[in-house]
Amino acid sequence: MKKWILGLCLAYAITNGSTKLFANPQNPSFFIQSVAYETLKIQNTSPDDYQGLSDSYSSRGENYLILGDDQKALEDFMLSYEYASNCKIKEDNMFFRASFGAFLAHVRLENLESVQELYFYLDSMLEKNCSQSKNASFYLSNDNSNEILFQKCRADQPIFGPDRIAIGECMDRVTMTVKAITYLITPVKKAEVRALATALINQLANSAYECCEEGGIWKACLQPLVNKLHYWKVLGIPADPMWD
Amino acid sequence: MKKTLVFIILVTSSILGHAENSFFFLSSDKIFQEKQGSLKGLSSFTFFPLLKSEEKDARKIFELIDRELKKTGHVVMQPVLTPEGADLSAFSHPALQFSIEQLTDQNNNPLPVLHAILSLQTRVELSKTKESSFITTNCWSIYLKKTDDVQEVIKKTLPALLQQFLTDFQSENTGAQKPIFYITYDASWGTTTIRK
Repeated sequence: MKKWILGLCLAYAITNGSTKLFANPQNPSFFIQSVAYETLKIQNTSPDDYQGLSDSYSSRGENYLILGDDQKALEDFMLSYEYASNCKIKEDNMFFRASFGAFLAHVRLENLESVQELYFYLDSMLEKNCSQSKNASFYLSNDNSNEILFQKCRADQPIFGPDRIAIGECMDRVTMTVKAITYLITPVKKAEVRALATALINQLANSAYECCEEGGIWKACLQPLVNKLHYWKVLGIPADPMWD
Repeated sequence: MKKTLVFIILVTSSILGHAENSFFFLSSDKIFQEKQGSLKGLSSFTFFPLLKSEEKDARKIFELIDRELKKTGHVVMQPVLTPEGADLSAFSHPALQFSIEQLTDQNNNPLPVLHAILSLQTRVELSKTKESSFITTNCWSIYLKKTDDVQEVIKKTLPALLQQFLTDFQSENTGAQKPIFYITYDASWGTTTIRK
């Protein structure tokens, strides 16, 4: 799955060429202003505030990426990584943010060796973070990288009970889990969110029924539904449930 | 001729008598029963309410339903989501579902009528195909005049529906036996929001 995320970024970047990924924003003035704002922040940040500088350079790098100025973006991400290395407490999310940004910049600059190197580095970071993190508490910023990492670290929820149950019971549990999720999404006020969430749950339920009918391990059949129930209960229903 | 006239007067006055409030047929005394499958051998049910309410009312509604269920049977709180993982064992029982729907006309325009439904869904084997399916086997319902006060609707309908369920349950099982209701959710489930 981790490779899938990185692979998707890579494939998207390559197939869309260097001009389409994040470039040509509809409102460039906003991002130009953001660059100016981050530059001002960098100038006013104390030189020993490594965390603040790392954050600001990453933010500015992301704005450069959106504006299509890949070389400047790369320089900022490298500086961000350097400041992150100087922090007394090493925060993985800072390294990830800087590295992920640099990865995208290298993709667009077609530095294939660096792309490959960063790919393996990011892969190992995801591996490390996902295996260590039970309660993901990553630094959330306006970029997508931490969100991706957060999503990746959502572990499967353990399901209690015997390892084997009858096929009928497996199917009953699917039905009842769907009812529980339906109850959970009923209070959501936006009808379109409820509809999308219901559609997604129905898709997952159909797969789970098939899995039960084929004699699959019931816990594995129910896992996607149980995960949805758990995370939607804990985090709330996503605005676009299909992409959750 | 006289007899016919008297009959017409009697029928008319009977209808008008019931129609003191224009929704004479929308009464919590009148329970409609459909799909009456057998309740024999059933003892435990997993209860689900399907209600839309304001966040601030969620706890009150939860407590109200809990109170009514306790009057009818034994309530077992068995949360499906625990800090350690998911416990789906209560999901092996038939589902007893309480919902309130607003009726609509053929053009999907809302009518000022609510339909409170208590339904039982369970796995049955279809005799023709020998396939098993999870279907609604029992359904008790009440129609009433529309109001936005969910708690009021619950108070007006759920006790009567549960009482009818209990009567049917006890008539098919040993006398004073009381049903067991499993509750797998808590009050916070009624406050789900959209993630920012």
